[in-house]
Amino acid sequence: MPALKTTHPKPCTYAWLLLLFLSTASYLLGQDKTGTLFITSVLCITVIKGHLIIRYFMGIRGVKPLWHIIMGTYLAIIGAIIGIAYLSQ
Amino acid sequence: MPNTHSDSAVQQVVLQPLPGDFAIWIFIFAELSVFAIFFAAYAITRNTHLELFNVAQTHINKTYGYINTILLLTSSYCVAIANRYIKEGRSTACTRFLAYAMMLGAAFLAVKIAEFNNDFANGITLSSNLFDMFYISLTVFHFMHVIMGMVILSVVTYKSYKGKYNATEHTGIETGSVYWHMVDLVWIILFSLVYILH
Repeated sequence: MPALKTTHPKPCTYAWLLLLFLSTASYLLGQDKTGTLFITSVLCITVIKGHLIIRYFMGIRGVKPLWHIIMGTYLAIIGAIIGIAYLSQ
Repeated sequence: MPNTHSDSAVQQVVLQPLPGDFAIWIFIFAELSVFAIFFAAYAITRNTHLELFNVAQTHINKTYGYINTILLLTSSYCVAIANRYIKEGRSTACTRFLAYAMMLGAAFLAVKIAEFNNDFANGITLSSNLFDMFYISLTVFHFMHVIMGMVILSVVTYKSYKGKYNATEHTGIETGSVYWHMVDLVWIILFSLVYILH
């Protein structure tokens, strides 16, 4: 019987740990911070988290660049709409 | 020797197919578009009712949202690990991680129900104000997607337990996983928008 391949899913694990860290960071920022820097930071964190989920969890990493562009555009449009609405208040 | 270099170069540019059934991606883009309209409507409406949104937002509990974020991200991670295991032919480990993902999904639903109970007790309803209307609508809509994802994961986990998937045939797991990750992706935007940004 051939030996089973035992690849440890390290990229996914690192992405997960980073996602937990970023979520905790935005939760703590949301406790008392306010202003342009706070809004920009939370939006950047959200876009990075979205990118990590798409790339490492959804498995987009090795597929055609078109799919990266489509998913990336989605995140960019959402981030831009929220950013414009919040920063123009 | 030169062939070895050119072979490895060719291997590096070989692109993988899109994970799961292509139809699920069409469905996901439709779902993401609907949520995008909701998010845009929330952000634009908030701009014209700033005072009301800022006051009403203080009545919701950020900690519930944070706990649910951790639960859903960890559940998504378990699904990603399950995918890796089935590609290696380790179906028992795959089934185990799919079961962990379902347990975390169930925990998300339990926390959300507790949060809704708390909200309703505090007078937060669909008709109490504009912020509450958006908050309840968005979170309930997402809640229904989590339930749908749990149903899909249940079917996939059962089939994995029965040995229906292996290293070469696991499209069903990939399809279910992509949907579950979409639910996670929507939640992280919702969490930032409704719970954190003010």
